[in-house]
Amino acid sequence: MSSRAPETDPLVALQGGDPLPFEAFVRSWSSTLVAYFIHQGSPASRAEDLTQDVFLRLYKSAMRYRPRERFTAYCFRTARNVWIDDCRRSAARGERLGESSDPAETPGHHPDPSAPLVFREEERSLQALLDELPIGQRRVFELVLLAELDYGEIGAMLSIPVGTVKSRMFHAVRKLRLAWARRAQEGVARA
Amino acid sequence: MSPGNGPHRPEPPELPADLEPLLLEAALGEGVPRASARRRLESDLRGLRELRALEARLAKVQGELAAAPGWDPAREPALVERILAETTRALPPLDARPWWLSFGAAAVLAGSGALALWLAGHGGATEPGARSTAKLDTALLDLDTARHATDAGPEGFAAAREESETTASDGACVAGPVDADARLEVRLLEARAKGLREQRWAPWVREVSPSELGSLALALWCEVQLDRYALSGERPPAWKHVVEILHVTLDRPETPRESSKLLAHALDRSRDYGLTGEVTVARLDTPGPLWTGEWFDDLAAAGREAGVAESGLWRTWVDQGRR
Repeated sequence: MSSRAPETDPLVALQGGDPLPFEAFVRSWSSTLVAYFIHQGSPASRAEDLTQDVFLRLYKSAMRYRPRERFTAYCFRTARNVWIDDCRRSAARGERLGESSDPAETPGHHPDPSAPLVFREEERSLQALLDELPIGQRRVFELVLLAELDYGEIGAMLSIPVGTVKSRMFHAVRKLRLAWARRAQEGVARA
Repeated sequence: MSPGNGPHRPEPPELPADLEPLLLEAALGEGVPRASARRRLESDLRGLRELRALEARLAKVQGELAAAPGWDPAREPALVERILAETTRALPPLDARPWWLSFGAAAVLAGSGALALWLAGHGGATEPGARSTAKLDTALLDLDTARHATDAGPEGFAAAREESETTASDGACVAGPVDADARLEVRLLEARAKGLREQRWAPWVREVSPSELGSLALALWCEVQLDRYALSGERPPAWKHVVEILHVTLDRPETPRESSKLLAHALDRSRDYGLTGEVTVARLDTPGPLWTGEWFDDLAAAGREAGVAESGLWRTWVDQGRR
């Protein structure tokens, strides 16, 4: 997998008065962060708000920021904190995670009838496969593939040892491979 | 190739029946182990096929994950514009000091003066009456200063700070330097105020042994250490040991119930910063305000338990901090 990590640390550039790397980072990672929040269970409109919140927090923290890790890892750790804070606020308001009054905002719901049927089938298929994974394995799997973080960064982010990250990833991939093989066989049998 | 013709390259060992660990290392690992796993898999037809299939599948999943279900990618430009309008294109420049920190620092400034006065009056030190009255007046002035800072935001804080420094230079401000022989709680409160206000951290704080502190002093000492970590990124030394002390102190039956809340607050902050638990994480963004009204509520309750709340000045200070 090719890494999309920025060459220049956007917050270090901001400290030096150059906003361009930060703006480039916003452009290239905003949709990924929206996807991250949706995969955590947020409705699409809320995911947009949370994404905006992440970038605001990053921007505001620029002056006290010290680069001690890869910037994308710092960004996703901030995203996770934003998500946790949002869950706490939702819990305080008595809302349930991922619950939306508008069914059109429910993850996996596609109001656009012109969307290609095959794409939607595949999307649902992936969602169903991910839903079968235990939550810990799923989080690790998503962070590896979506955020492109390495095992050490994920361990630091989730406060778990690197060995546990590897183990969760191992079991997640094994289960997914088995599921893919099973589906492929079912497809052949149907044909 | 027969032996003796060219350099001998050992055959890679036969692939294991379970390819999973090798496949994972080859597809997602790093460095030498990844290269080694790839070499082993690519030397075998079955291994090569499985590796290619897994990589193709993972790339597909990566694309599917990035396409957020339920979100229209056409909204992305508007989202980006909104974010840029709130950040780099916003008119106010970056401010290293959040608004609540300004309030917190001013409140601590006021608080340290008030507490110093109360402890001086009730802690056994003999103070001439006239001087005590002057301190009371100055402490109340500090409270007004804090209120002014709260109303006016960061700029107000700067003004308040200037005003406090001017007052201190007149030699009458109790929020000024605390005597070295003052009670530890007062010195810690002053250290916290100074840290929040100027981001200068008194070196003696690190020399204090937390295992020898009472519950109130321990809570204040932890707050100073956690402020320092949140603002400067400097990890508190031997924090695991400190966390153990916090737990032990909390478990002690003689620890006042209300003081326990202050200790629990320190533990919560520690947890929020990723300093507590199996793995320590260098987390630099703060999840919430360093100083909140609830802290003053807990302090007020602890004060009542300790009999401090009988002081009118204490009550004034706590009430001011809660706002």
